[in-house]
Amino acid sequence: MNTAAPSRAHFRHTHIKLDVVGLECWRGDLQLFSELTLTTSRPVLHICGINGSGKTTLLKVLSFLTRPEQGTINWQQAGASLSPREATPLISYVGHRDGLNGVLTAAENLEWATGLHRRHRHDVVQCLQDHQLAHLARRPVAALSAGQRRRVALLRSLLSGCPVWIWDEPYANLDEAGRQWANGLLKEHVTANGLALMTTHLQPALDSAAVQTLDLSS
Amino acid sequence: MSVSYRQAFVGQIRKDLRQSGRRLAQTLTPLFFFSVVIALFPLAMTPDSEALAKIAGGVVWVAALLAALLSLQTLFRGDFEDGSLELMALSGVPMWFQVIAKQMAHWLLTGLPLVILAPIAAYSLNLNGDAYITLMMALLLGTLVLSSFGAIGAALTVSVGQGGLLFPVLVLPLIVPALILGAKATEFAAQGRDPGGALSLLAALCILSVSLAPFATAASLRVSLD
Repeated sequence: MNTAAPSRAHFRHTHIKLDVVGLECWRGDLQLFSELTLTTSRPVLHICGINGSGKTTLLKVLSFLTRPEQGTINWQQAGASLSPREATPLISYVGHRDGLNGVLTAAENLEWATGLHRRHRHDVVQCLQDHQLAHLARRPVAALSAGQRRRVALLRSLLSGCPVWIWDEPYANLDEAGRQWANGLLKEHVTANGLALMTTHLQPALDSAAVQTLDLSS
Repeated sequence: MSVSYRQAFVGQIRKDLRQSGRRLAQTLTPLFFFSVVIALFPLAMTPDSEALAKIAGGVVWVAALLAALLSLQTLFRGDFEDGSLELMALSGVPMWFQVIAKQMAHWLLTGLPLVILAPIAAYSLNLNGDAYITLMMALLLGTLVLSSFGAIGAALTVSVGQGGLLFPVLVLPLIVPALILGAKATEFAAQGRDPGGALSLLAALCILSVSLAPFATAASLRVSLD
């Protein structure tokens, strides 16, 4: 089903790891979590928890978009610690707001976003084709359905070439075929030695040896 | 992983120009507003060309300033609402560099057309013939000051919903010096005096704002994302 472009078939990221110690976050005067300590040991970190438990905030804190009240976030690549400035270009983030401009086409949006991460012009249209989205390439994003938009946004992570994917509710608005499609992307990423952090209410349908779960409700 | 600054810069400008090209009505609103204000002045005051000539420079400047403010308010709004700003913050390219690209795209779409329209507007208000070059030079510098300082205000108010009053209150004090210097230079030229002093000061203000404001804007955007 998921035929990776030949150029990517043997591509492997340098191993990247996340180390978090004593993280504490508040929203307004409400404490979301405290003393959160975590080390990634598997390629996919699945963050679950009830609504309002701070899943999105945690993802934003880990990508340095929001500052935590306390605690340290340490991204490590090949054993060396990365400063926030070094770490952020390695992160591809797909949040609730999908980062797609409605009046531009899917291909134009992806071209812009890819240019923020890599030098070599990746063939966006080819990548859309390889992932069964060729029919969306030339349509303005505003004319796409919510599920189609989400697929385009998720594909941005693959195109960015980032070793870390941070996905906030990637399965929202996706039908069964869409969820399988997204899992296919994740598997491709895991094969390429990448790391994925995601929040979702569903158990990701991946090899359980690849998935580490963090429950924020407890 | 390496990223090309040039490619990101060009990509950002292309994105903004494309998107404005597809929302032409919105893009042309400031220019339409500018033309309407200029056209209304003689109707409301006096059609007497002698009287109009005296205020022509000032009127063109006020209209240009308000038109630029109108469009600046939403400079980052779209990118904030659709999440593009988060992507920009997480890229390998510094935020201030992307801010310069956005400012440049905005200036090409608003500032430059205003500079080109200004002589026509001034002609309809019977501005003294010697002052046209000065007016255009001053507006060229002035619109750059507006874009730079206005971007700081737009970045600070981007998360405040419709932010209505806050934006002009923040930005006006910063851009009033440019208005005074620009209008004075135009007036001096119209009276046959040397506008060099006012123009030099305006140029200094322009260099200061264009070189320093992007850093303040980038920091403000980070605060707005938090």
